[in-house]
Amino acid sequence: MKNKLRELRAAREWSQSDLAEKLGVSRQTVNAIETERYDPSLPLAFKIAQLFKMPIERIFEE
Amino acid sequence: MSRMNTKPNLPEEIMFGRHYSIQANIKANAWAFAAMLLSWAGDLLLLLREDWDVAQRAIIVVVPLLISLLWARSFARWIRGMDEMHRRITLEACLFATSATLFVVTAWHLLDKSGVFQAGSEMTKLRLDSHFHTASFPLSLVLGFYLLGYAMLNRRYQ
Repeated sequence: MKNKLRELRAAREWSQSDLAEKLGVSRQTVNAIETERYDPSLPLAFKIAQLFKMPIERIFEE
Repeated sequence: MSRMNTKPNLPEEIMFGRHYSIQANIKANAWAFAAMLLSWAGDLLLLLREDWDVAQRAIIVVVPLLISLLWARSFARWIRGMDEMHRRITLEACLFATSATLFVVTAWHLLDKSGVFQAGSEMTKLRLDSHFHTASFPLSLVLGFYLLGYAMLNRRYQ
């Protein structure tokens, strides 16, 4: 699944560790989502959407 | 929005490497170490006290097993403390390890029954069939397959 997590994070000048801490996951998980090797669960996707104050479908797309 | 303050557990924290943490290893595996030590002490005691009756010998054998149940509980808690990706990798590695161990132990048992190891033992003078009857054999297999499974699955998400 494609996503805009890396660009959204970069726009806020957050490191992967910063984002991981805000989401309560490990840095490796943030990296795996950004590189599209891991698709987050719905609760984590909602958490990401809430953090960036955007609808899920604007961050994640098929 | 709720924010988690605690750092999620990482599987690498209990594997030797740059993420290794002795505190994390104790948190996850203290009961396993206790069971292992008691098991060794029990083996020694059984060797030294061959005159003890069956009930006493059974207690010595069963105590480490009961303690290993406490380890299962602490390890399950450790897994619950991981984030979703690492929990998934760990559970898949556990499934791989138990399935592969079941396969090897079954195959070993069938080969043993067919007399392959007996023939091998006679040729090499090694007691190949005796490995199947020790608890450390399947336990070592589970650990080995877990590490192998974890390495394979972890690579998928790197």
